[in-house]
Amino acid sequence: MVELRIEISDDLKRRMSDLPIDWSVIIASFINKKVSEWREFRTIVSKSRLTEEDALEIGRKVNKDLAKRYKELISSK
Amino acid sequence: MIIIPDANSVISALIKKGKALDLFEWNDFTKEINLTAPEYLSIEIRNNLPLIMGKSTLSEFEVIWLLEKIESQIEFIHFSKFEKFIPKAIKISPPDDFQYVALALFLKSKGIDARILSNDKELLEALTKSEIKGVTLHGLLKEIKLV
Repeated sequence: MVELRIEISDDLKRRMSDLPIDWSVIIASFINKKVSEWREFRTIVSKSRLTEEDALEIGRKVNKDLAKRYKELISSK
Repeated sequence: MIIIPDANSVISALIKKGKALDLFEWNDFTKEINLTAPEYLSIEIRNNLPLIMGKSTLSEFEVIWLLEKIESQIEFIHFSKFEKFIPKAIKISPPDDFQYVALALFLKSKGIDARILSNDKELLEALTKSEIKGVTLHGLLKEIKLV
């Protein structure tokens, strides 16, 4: 185990003190969850064959569809 | 900092070793950027899932899981909020991008300066002549010192 030092405001420290919680467990759990989620994200994305050009092409298609939807919403009023 | 990501910016997070992924990951931890987007962006991205799956070769489950992770950081703004800014936005932006400009104009009317995140040269060029600012992914990453 290692120690992690974090800085928080005096006000937050006061409010945390009002609660009967082991904050080191909460913070460790939060960091573990976030790191695990993004590790999984990167594992999936590492298999992706999407390119910058593909993303731009699909993005333009989505923008076109989105603009069409808004135009239809406006004209239906 | 308020940023309006366009469709390309969101989809780019699915690129292997892409920089958009670095941005969304960093922001999920720091929450330094408030991401906001027009309503229905998520739905229209979903409507193009077969295209995304085809190009990425990822499964439907994987693509949806990734998109949900990215979109959980984005506040989607209802059409009725920025609707009245659409006529002005149409004059400013390329034909298919007015929704982002309208949202930025709405936020500006509330005293909030939001920039549009895009790598689309046509949109970025159009914005240089307007009161709305655009930023490229690379430009934003430089600002937050991720490159």
